Formats: sequence, C-alpha cells, structure tokens
Amino acid sequence: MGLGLGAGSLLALSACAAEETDVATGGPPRTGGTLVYFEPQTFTTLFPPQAGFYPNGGIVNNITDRLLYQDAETLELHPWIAVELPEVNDDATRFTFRIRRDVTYSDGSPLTAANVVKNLDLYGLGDKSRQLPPSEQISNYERGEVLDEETVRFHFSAPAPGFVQAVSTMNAGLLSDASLDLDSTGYGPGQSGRIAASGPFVIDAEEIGTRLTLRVREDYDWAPPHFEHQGRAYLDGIDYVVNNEYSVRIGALVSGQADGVREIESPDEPRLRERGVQLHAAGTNGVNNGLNLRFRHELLQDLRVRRAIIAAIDRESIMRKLFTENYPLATGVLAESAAGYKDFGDAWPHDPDRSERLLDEAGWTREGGSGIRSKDGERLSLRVNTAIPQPRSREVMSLVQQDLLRVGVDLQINEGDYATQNLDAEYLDRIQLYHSMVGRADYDVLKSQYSGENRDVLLNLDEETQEYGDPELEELLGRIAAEPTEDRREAASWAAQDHLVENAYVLPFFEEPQVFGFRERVRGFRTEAVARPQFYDTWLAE
Amino acid sequence: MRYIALRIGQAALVLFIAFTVASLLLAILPGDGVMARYANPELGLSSAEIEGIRADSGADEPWYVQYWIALTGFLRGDFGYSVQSGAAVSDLIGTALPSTLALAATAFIAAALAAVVIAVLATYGRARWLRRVFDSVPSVFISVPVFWFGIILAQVFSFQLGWVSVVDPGPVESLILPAATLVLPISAPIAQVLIRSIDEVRAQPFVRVSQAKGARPGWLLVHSVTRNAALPALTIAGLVFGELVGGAVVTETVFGRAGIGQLTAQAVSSRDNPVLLAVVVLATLGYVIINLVVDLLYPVIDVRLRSGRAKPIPASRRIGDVDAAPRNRQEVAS
Amino acid sequence: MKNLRLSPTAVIAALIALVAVLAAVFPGLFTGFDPNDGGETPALLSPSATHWFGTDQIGRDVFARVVYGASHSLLAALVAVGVGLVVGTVLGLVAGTRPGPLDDALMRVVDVLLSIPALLLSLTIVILLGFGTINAAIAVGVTSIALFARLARSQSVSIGKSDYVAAAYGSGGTYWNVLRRHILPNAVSPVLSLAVLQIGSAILQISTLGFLGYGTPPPTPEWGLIISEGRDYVATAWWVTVLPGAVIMAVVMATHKIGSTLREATA
Repeated sequence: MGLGLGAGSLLALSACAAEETDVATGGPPRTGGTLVYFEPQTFTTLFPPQAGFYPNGGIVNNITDRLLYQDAETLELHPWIAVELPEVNDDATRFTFRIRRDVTYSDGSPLTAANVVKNLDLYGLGDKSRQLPPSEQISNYERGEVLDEETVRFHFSAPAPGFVQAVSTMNAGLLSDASLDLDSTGYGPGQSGRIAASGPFVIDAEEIGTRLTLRVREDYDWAPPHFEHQGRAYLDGIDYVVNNEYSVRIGALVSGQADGVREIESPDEPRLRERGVQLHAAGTNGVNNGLNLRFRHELLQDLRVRRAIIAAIDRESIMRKLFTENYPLATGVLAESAAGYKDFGDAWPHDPDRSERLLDEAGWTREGGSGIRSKDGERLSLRVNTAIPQPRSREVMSLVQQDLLRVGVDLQINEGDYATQNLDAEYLDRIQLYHSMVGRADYDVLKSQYSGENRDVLLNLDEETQEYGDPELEELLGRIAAEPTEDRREAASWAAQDHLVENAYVLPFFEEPQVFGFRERVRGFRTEAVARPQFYDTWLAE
Repeated sequence: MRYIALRIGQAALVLFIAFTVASLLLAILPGDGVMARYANPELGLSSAEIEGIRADSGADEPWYVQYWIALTGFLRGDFGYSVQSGAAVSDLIGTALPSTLALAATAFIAAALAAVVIAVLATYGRARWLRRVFDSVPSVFISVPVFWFGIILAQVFSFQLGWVSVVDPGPVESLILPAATLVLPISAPIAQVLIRSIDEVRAQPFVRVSQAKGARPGWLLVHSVTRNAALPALTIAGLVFGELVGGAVVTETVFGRAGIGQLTAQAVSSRDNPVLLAVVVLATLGYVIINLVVDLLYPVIDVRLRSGRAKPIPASRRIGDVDAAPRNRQEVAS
Repeated sequence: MKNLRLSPTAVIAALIALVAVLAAVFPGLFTGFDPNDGGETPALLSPSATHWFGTDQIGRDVFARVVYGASHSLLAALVAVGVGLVVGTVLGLVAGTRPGPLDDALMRVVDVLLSIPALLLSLTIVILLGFGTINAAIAVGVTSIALFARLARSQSVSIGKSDYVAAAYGSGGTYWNVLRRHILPNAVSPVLSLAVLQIGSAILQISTLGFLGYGTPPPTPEWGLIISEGRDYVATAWWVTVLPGAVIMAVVMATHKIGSTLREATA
C-alpha cells in the first residue's frame, strides 16, 4: 500500500476529511522539522498492555514496533517484525512466528527470539509482584518458547484465535529486555527515558505533566515491508504538549502555535475548516459509544423499564444537536467497520409514547401525568457516569436527562474527576447507567467490554458472590474468544450482540471517531486501527 | 528573645497541626491513588486485579500507619514517592518550584507596581472622574473570575493578536500572560490599602503644615505613605501568599505551565496523597515563615513609626483593617 | 447605620442586587424559556431578540439559565458565608473573651485554617462531601471561618476592655450573659458587613471549583457551571461564557460595593 493512498483512504469515514487529505499528501515528502501535537491529558503509563488510554496509546504507538501490522482500513494483517503471518494449529492454541534478525532497540540491545518471548510472557501473564497486569487482549496464555534464533512459539491453554490480531496492536508493542524488567513505576510519568523500544521514534525528554518530546531514530530500517516508505521517519521529532484547556488547544492550533490537536469538538469543525485546518476523523473500530444499562440493579431488572428507557431517548436528535457527520449514528452494537459487525438498523426508534406505556405497565406511575415516576414510594431515579475521555459525554448525558425527564424518569449525572468517576463506576448502587466505548479491531472487543473477566461495563459479575447476573451473556462472550475459526467467531459475536440488544442492555449512540485537527503544512498523517496517531509517514511541508 | 522563641514554637505547632489535619482529611477521602491510577477503564483491568495491586502497594493499610510513615519521613526530610508516577516527591517539587516562584515573584512585583499606579491615580488624579474611576478599579479587579480572565487573555493576546506564544514561549514570554492574570486578584488588596493610607496621611495636620512650609508633595507622599502603609502592606503580603498558591493552580492549569499549581491540580484528581501532603507542608511553611517575619518586624517598624511624626494607626484598627479588607486570601482562589 | 450616605454607584449596586434577588425568587418574571430543556432549539445560536444571550452547547437559552441560576448561586453563596459567619464568629467571640489557653488554642486552629491554601482545602472538602452545589458552598465556607474568627476576636477584645462590659460584670453578669447581651450585639455590625463583602468572593470561589471540575452537577444552571461548561466554545461562541461571566462580575461588584458602603457606615 502506497503512502499517499494509505493516508487518503483511511479517512474515508468523512467525505470532507478524505478530500482535504488528498490535497495534503501531494508532492514528495520532505524530511525534517518537529511536529507540535496537543493532548488534553498527560499519559499515565507506557506499559504497552495499558496503552488503551488515548494519551498512552498516542505515544506507545509511535515508539514501538509489533510482530504484525494491521491495516487500519481493511483490518488485514501484514508481516512486520515477524517476516510472515504465523502458523496456527487447528484449535488455535499454538502460534509459531518467524522474526527478523536485523532489528535493534534504542538502547542498543538486539531484538531476539528470546526477547520476543520475554515480551509476550509478560504481556500474556502479567507480573503481580511488579504491579503489571496482563493485556486484556490476550486470553488463555500459557507460555512462549524459543524454537531457534528466529522462531518463537506461543502456547495457549484454550483456543485463542484473537492472539494473531493482538500481537499487531500497540498493547503488544515490543520492548527491550531492560525495559521489560521495570516495575509499574518505571513505566510511569517522569521515568519515560527508561523505555527503550524499536520504533521509528525514541523518547527524548519529559517534563512531568506538561510535555514529552520524541526524536527520530535515524537508523530505523524495519518498517512493515509492504510500506512504500522505508527507513527513518520524515519528522525530526514530535512534541506532545499537554493542556487541559480545550479553548487553549484550539486557539494554539488556529494561531499556528501548534501543528496538531487530538479531540476536536463538533461545534468547532466548520470554523476550523474555514481557517484552513485539516480535519481527520478516524474510526475506532470497536464497541460503539453508547449507554449500558446495568440490569442487576433493582430498578433495571424489569425488561420493560430498560426498553422504556431506550425508547425514551431520541438518538437522532442528540446526534443532530451535538455532532457532525464525522460521528455516524450507530446502526449496531459494533461500528460498521469493526470485526463482527451486525446491522441492527432500526432497533432503537424514539417512541416516548411506548416508553410511557411500558413504564405504566411496569407499575411506575406518576401523579397527574407529570413529575418523576414512583412505585411503592420509591422514585425511578438513576445515575449515569460522565465518560471524561469520550467526546461531549456531559452534553450527551444532559440531553438524555431531558429525554428521560419527559417520560418521568429522573437521571442524575455523576459529577467528578477521573478518580471519582472510575471509583463510582465500580459500584452498582452509584452508577446504574454506564456511558462508554472501547476500540479494538478484533471479534474479542465485545468480550473486552462486557465480560466479567475484563471491563464488565454492565457489572454482570457480582463481586461478592462471584456469580453472574446473566450467566448466558458471559457464556456467549466466552465463546467469541474461544472459537478457533473466523466463521464461528463471527457467529458467536452475532449471538452475543443479539442477546445484548434483545435484553435491552445497551443503547448505542454513535461510532466513535477520533477527530484530529492539523495545520495545513502537516502531510501524510494517519492512524492505526483504533485511531491512535501514527506519525511515521507524517511530514511537514515548507 | 523569649517572645521570639515562643513565636517560633507556635509556628512549628501550626505546621504540625496542619500536617496532621491534612493527613487525616486525605486519608478519609473516597478512593486512593492506586484506585485513581489503575481503575481507569481504558487500562482494561478487572476489579480483582485492582484489589491485588492495592494490597501489594500498601494502599489498604490503616490511616494511622500511613500517617506515622509519612510523619517520620517528613521529619527525616523524606517526602516519599508519588503514587501516580512513582517519582520522588522531593524531585517533583524541586522541578516545579522554580517556575512557580518565578511566576509568583513576577506577579507580585507587577501587582505592587499596578497597585501604586492605581492608588496614585485614585487619589492624586487630575480630574474628579479620573479619581473616581481608579478608586473603583480594585473592586472591579476582585470581581473577575480568574480562570475566566486567563482564558480570555489567552484567546485575545496569544491566539487573536499573536503577541505571545502559549505553546512554545521563551522563559520571559511564558510569564507574561499568567502573571498578568494574577495581577488582578493580587493588586486589588494592595491598591486598597494604599488608597486608604494615602487618604489618611493627607488628612493628617502635619502634612498640611509641611506643605505650607514648602515641602514638595511628591516627597511627602512617598515618605509618609510608605511609613503609614508599611504595616498593612506587610500583613497583606502574608495573606497574599495563600492567594498565590490558589492562583497558581488556576493559571498553570489554563496556560499548561509546569509548576506547583499544575502538580497540585493533578495530584488532587489522582488522589496522590504524598504529593498533596508535601504541597500542604510547603504552603504552610511559606505562610508560617512570612507571618513570623511580619510579626517579628511589627515592633521594629512600630518603634520607627512612633519616633516619626506620623500618628501610628491604633493596633485594634490595624488588625480590623486587614481582616476586613474586602480582598482576602480566599478570593485568589477565584 | 444612621449616617449612610448613598453615592450613585451604591444605588446602582443596590439595584443590581435587587434584580439578582428578584431573579432568584421569581425567575419566571424574567424569561419564558426553560433553563434545562432547550427542546428542538439548535445549539450555539448567537444572541438575538429571542435568545438575548444566545443558546448554549445543547440548545438551551443562556439567559434563562443565568436567570434560573441566580437562586442556586446566591443560595450557595449565602450558605458559604453562613458557615464562615456562624462558626467563625463563635470561635472569635469565645477566643476574644476568654484570654489564656483557650484563646491560644483557638487562634492556633485559626492559624492552621489560614495556612492551608484555601483552594486546596475546599477541593479536599468537596471530594470528601461529594459533588453538589451545597457541598461546594460548605467547602468554600470553611475557608472563610478563620477570617470571621479573627475579626470577631479583635472586636470582642476591644469591646471587652470597655467600661460598660466591666460594669456589666461588676453588677453580677455571668460570662454567657455578658457575651450575649453586650459583646455580641456590639461586635455584630462589622462582622455582618464582612459577611456581605464575602458573598461576592464566595460566588467566585464556587465558580472556580466548577472550573476545576469540582462544582455543581449538570443540569443545575449554577453560574460557575454555566461559564465552565461554555468555556470550551469561547472562540466559536463567546456568548456562552462571556455574557454569564459579565453577569457574575456585575453581581460580585454590587455585593462588594454594598458591603463596603455598609462597613464605612458602621465604622
């Protein structure tokens, strides 16, 4: 895949963005210059399995290489550090990779078969004593084995078909032996200089909480072989600048003090385009941004109540008010481009009358047809989190709050910082409606989001009794990760999605993109499969 | 001498109580640093894994154990390690402090200059309307929400006019907008004290007498006002310190400056108690030292005042003045 | 109070305060829009004859939000000042009338309260109490306790030295009796004018908590929340932040003016 083609077609999500990018990629790439890139939050760790957090991933993706490369558009896997796609046994419990032998880490150590095994052992099993958890993308990992200098094999206790894709994500970014010996603190802010990887950029300097500087690796010569662009990256370096104030980030971009900004809010899109800013909307290819109804809570146990809540919410009005065409209305639990997508087209029509009927039937009544509904003296009052990393979560929830109030359901929006939101989200009695999404271009993404072993956004698993509120759901999710063939994994994913939709556990809002804004001089920007920036091909025009 | 020892003892006591109160408050906050760091859903950890990390890191020790460890550590000069980043707290503070001190010093000097200009114009302005306008400037300044003002300054002077860079400024350039933001809340109380002092001095009989004798008004003004305003100004300096800490949190957040304020804001949101404790102790220490110096200077200046011709302000009035000055330490927080 | 002379600015300040109080009590007099439900109105409309302050990021009428927000913000400010006033005055009166160890101890407590940066203290208290308008108000109020305590103490010390207090003790008055009948009434007016002055700063401090993300949960149209939610759009839709900000400034200035006029009158 050619460089120009790659960046252009990746952005097909938005017609405007694609058009602008075609212009932007014209002319031969120029080497040199430092890109100033704004992040709203500082990174929390550079331990690859925890790179899912946007600010972490934005860095890890640019400093590490992976065994395989996943095309962001076709989601096809290509060789990278592995010279070919792995050999997999029939029940997907044994994976054999052949690896390149000419790769070195930025600390000078070579990338060897033993080192690759050491990487995956840590990511597959974690290390409790160093407070390093395993990657959520790797299940059933048993051990790695060095077969010879260029061949490694990984063994699993149960089928793990998702593993092939998992080694292509930044959550399996390869690190040098010395870096792998760090503990949790060693991967944290202030310590970034200790991380040595083999990617096109190297960490140069860090100001805790405000700035991280990458510089190009001059001797980088192991880009995925199918890339037209080989050798060093075009940029001399990247400055990640952190500022919490959105208005400051946007102002800096428009006034030319910054080259790029992640997370452009919809209302600014037209104005930015007028001012010559290129917008890139990249899909995150996973579970859509949506509302999860925690059905184990007593107020939500009744299917009719859950259906009523979903029918009361006017998704199209919310999308019209708050978002641009870069944010496609969700047509399923998963994004259209995600692995395992199933179309649920019009499963979630806005029907307040039906909603009121359902609530009446369920015994939730209101005096004189207005006010908050109640039953046996208990008010129908629920609380939703604010998903701080998600675009305009507060505004979305404020509109949901309006819609629900119209049918007599009280919605409280949980206020608070990250720590508060994360803590509250763990408790059923604090958060009953959970707003979230997760990106990963593999069937396993559904399991990551809903399984009791992973994020468990529905809180299906009761921590005290260790029992599942809906064991069938857990079983369906487990099958996605365990079926050995592509077809059967898709079938399992569909079954799980049917279950989620029929039981009114979820209301998807939109396919969450990351919208980036770049100054006119920035060319060749692209993202990996879940929309984290990839600056290898990026260059600055005069 | 005994008085000085007593005051130092009191200061140490205040420091100790502040430390204890802060540890207690932080200990009973919901959530802890480990939760804040690892319970982020984007990290994909299950609750069982997070509980494991908490147990391993000692975050579930009872508060008095953690308090004792922190207290003995502080006494040895060991501030411990940040939960969020693992870096030594003393390193974090050491890196952040110079930039905040530079900001605070610049803002304070600029505010003092602004206050003098405002006070002179408000009392010696040529036209009545001019005096009126400048007389009300302090109350306008203290009514502005500081964060709001900072955001608007950044929009106008950096992004619209392009006069200063917010993203990659030089060392002096980087101080301009944040310091300008802080000038508002800090110059207002100083200007108020100055205006009042000038009014009082001008009302004194000796001023009229010396003027009649041909003394230049400018010299008189400087001489008498400096003496008369010295005590309130010193006290204000003590109070303003607290404002600077709060102001640093807001301005450093708005302008993305690395510093104590930014460190504090992040430590609060990530429940990074070791960092917060160190910030509290640092701020308390600064406050206590400034006020100790002020207290010890009081009698010295008082004696000089008595020997001069200016009538000293009665002690009760002095305390009341400063305490009731509309501009007080909390307002900087705004 | 008798020599209260009203300057034109004081009159304007009183009018602003009156309008703010009216808006707090009868918001319906000022606007017909719903502050929390914009219906189908588009978001971020610029100010017009219909929407005087434009509409906000989700299509609600900003003017209606400011009007309805008056009750929340003023109530919060009153609660904040009330906490400082009551607790601080009690501490100060007791300290000022009981010289010796009790006075010393109370004044050390006040020192501690003054020495911990106010913003840090109020952030911690908000997290502790949970997010909400009244909790934010209490958190802000705690930081002003020391201020009231100092003033009340200095007042009661000077009153305590006066002849009539000595006379009251001489004629067999008990401590509480003298405190209640002689010292408190005489100390109260400077303390109250400080309280009025503090209303403005309480409004500002509560809005700062909102800016840092520790304020009122949506959709309550509290003033601090309105500007802090709107500030993201300051370059695209300045009115969402700038106009409510101007209203806050006007009200804060008005309370300052009233407070200082009262103080001069009582001095």
